[in-house]
Amino acid sequence: MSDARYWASAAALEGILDRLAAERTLIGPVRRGGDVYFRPVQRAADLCRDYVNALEPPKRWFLPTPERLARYRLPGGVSVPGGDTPRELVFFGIRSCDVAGLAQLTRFFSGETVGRPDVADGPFMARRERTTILSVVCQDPAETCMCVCCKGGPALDAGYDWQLTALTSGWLIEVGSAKGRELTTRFASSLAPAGERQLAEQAGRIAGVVESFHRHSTRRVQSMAAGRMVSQGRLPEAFWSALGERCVECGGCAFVCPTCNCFNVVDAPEAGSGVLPPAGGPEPAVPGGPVATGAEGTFERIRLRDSCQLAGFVRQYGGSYPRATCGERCRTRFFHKLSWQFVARVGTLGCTGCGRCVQVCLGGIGIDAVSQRMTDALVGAPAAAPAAKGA
Amino acid sequence: MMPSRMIPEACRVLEAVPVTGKEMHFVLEAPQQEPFRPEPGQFVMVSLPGIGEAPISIAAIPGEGTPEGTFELLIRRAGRLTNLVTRLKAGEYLYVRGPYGRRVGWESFKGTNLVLIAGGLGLAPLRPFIRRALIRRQDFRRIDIAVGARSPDELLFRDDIASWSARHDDVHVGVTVDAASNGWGGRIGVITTLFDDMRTDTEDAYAFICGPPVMYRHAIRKLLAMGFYENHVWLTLERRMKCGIGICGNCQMNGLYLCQQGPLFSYREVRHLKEAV
Repeated sequence: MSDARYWASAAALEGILDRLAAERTLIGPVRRGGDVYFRPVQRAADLCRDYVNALEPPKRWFLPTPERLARYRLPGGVSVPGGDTPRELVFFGIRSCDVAGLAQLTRFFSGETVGRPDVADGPFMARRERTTILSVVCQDPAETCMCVCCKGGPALDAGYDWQLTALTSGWLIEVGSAKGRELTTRFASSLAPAGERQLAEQAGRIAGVVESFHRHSTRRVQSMAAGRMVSQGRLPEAFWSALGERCVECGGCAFVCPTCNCFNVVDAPEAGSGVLPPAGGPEPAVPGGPVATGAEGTFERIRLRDSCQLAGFVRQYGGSYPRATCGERCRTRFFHKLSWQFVARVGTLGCTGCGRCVQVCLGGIGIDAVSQRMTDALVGAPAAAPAAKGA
Repeated sequence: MMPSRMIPEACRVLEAVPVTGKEMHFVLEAPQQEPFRPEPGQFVMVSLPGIGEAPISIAAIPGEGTPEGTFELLIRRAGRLTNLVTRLKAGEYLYVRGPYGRRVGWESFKGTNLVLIAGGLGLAPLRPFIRRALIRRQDFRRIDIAVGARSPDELLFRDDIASWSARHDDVHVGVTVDAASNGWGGRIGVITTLFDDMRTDTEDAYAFICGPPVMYRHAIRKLLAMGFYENHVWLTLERRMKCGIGICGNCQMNGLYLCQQGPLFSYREVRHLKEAV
């Protein structure tokens, strides 16, 4: 629970954001064409006001793809990108679902999830530690939003530095961390303690969103029933192969997911390094590919986003291909999102209800449709064909 | 900024010996940036700059049958990376990071009977277990070793097998091949046929298995029928791995990350997993 609540006028908040933008990188919702993205802005006035959520979660700011992990200059040795301390980032306007997603990524990449701080990912943690999160509570969710099902919103108890709620007049600010307290101390002259009426208005607004969801929304993440089915392995092969039929294997669901974090590591000649196969050397394994670790040249190790939904993810040399069908890969993905085994491991569902996988999926097998099918299977209802995109 | 943990170290190849037509046996200088103290069952990530990286089981642990400061790998030519790795010669460099994987407490096996079962390339990961068991021979009661290969030509680590067999007063070694032409004086048959000779007290025994997936199914069934407890049968699972430290997701099998929680598991831990055995 946040330990303190303040009120700021709209003008005061804009002033605070302008000052933060002047000294750090302020990132917030920006409209480009018809879509909203999280992008750096020079001043608060550049921020988009009327948005539901950004097309992509903010994870690309913490896990850029591609990301260079090491550089080899041969002869010589390995060098590691270092010394460059990441910029101080301030995120304004990210939604609770993304705050919850980032909290989950942080627990994962810090090693906390498995109690192994020794495996913490340096680049992720360096960026995360230099980030301030000023989240904004959703009051007008999209038709695809399901955070209420997943403890992903509309408001959170933790994970943010400041959580802001727009009131009829001004903003209510909840403070969720030491970093948040530093900000309230620093901007004390722009803030007033929140009054009873403002707290009541905020509570009413959040309750209104939740009630409206339960009353009007047709979409759910059926985590209880679906979790039971997937955790106990009670769904037949036919269930998964039917999902596989509808999956176009674009990886979109994973790439827009605020909690998905799988990646690939690739060793390659550095782009533009001009490393060529040595004359008279062996045939390259792939046409045009490298043939040897040249004794000379510049190479790099890069990390790229990846997805368990993609065919090459688990394929091995030597003939072993554990999840050769798309249906089996669907099973892996939804097991990770919904199973008790993962809830026990991570502490929460692998879904924060942002609904982006519902928006991007051409096959109509976003987490709402799939978890509903699992529920139908549990209660023995005849499986309904998933709605086609746009239907 | 704290660097990624996925940075390898160049390790000098001390010896590179072709074993069969497909495998190379490497003796390497151990990584030096951090103390290199692997346990049996652990692996390293092996790479060549600009080519790729793959997980490879450690075939000999420093100080246990191979000199301190060195370790061994047995690498089969299977893909793009291993095709090039198996061309390395002494004096050249292989890039290594690790060791990774679960460190199984060796103490819990003390005072028991051991059964070590290796099929094909599975002898490489199992070799550190066998060597340690023989170095600490007094810690165990009866020790049985079963080695299987498709053909006599594909039998790996022949010198080791010969030296283990030479200790016939305190180690029981069985070797079999699936098929052989003339000139093979040994046994012919699948590896489970060797289990019939194991006069071990299964109430108080641990079995370690490493081999191709099809072998697991038959070997485990037979061991359980012989009276082994499910949590006393240990096996290693394999998957594509990209990080080795449990964050890339490639080796995930249901709720397990094989690289971090494995690759060594007791059968009880993985028997319910569709993809495991």
